[in-house]
Amino acid sequence: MAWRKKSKKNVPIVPISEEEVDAIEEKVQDLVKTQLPLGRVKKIVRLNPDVEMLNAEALQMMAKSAELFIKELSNAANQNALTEKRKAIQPKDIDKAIKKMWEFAFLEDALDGWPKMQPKKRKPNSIQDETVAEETIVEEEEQEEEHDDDDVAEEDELPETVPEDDDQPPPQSMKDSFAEQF
Amino acid sequence: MSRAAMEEVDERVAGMLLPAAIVTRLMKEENISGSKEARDLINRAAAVFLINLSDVAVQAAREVKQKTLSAEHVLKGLRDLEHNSIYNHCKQINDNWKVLRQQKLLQRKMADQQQQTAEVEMEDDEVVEEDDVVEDTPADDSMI
Repeated sequence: MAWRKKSKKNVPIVPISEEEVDAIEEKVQDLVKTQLPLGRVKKIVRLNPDVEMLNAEALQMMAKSAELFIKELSNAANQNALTEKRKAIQPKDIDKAIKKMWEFAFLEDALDGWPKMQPKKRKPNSIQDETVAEETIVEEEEQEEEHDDDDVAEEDELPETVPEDDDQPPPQSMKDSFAEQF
Repeated sequence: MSRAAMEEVDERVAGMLLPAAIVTRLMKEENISGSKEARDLINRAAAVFLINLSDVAVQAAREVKQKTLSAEHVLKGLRDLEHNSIYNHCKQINDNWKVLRQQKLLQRKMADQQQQTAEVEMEDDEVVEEDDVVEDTPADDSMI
């Protein structure tokens, strides 16, 4: 063959000094360190029945990847929020990011119909209340951050799970004809 | 995974999320704030991401007939899913890990070699002693 892939085996491995090894160890630790708990990440990955075993490096890399992913998705959603001059991201910003960007395409439909999130009933004419409530909620959450457990989720859900603009209750006349279809 | 299996996994994923406070903190590091619903969505998205990544990593492992997921498989998974910036970051990590592994192997080899040379030297010492003994005895029969 005139053209052949360079064989990696033929490259001799040059020994490097201990200081250099230490420096590389420090660097890689810095690159791979994550705030996400490895145990939790492992539990999530193990939900995949096809996964048999994963070694420590694989777990670390997945945890770091998840952290980077969270930041990526947040940033993408944030861009969308900014275009509407909002400072806090909302689910619709995330949805938009999923629809727009190829790397988030796998999330399409994956986040719908999650068992936990149940929209509370809306009162008519509550639009004004919503905006006021939302702002106060943000402040409350800042304080409550430490206690922000999954179990406590229910209490805070009240105004925020109110559906977005698209889900505005239809005008009275349309409502009836809508209901008639069923 | 089959559709039914996926739905079952979905149900269980709902109960298995990352700590909400940490997700919030990660967003805060990017100066991003969000409604609780949004933060929860991002948390779930991360879980789905992990499942998805593990799927392609498993495929990569199977291609080389391995059962245990390694960093290489995860890396290939990231590339296959076209998560370019995450891939680039993790490639750096993996390249450095490779270097560290090679160096450790080299150190062990050199240590083994040193031990072997030491053992040979000990044998040489014994042989020298024999020669001395032999030399005491003259080649001719003059001492008899």
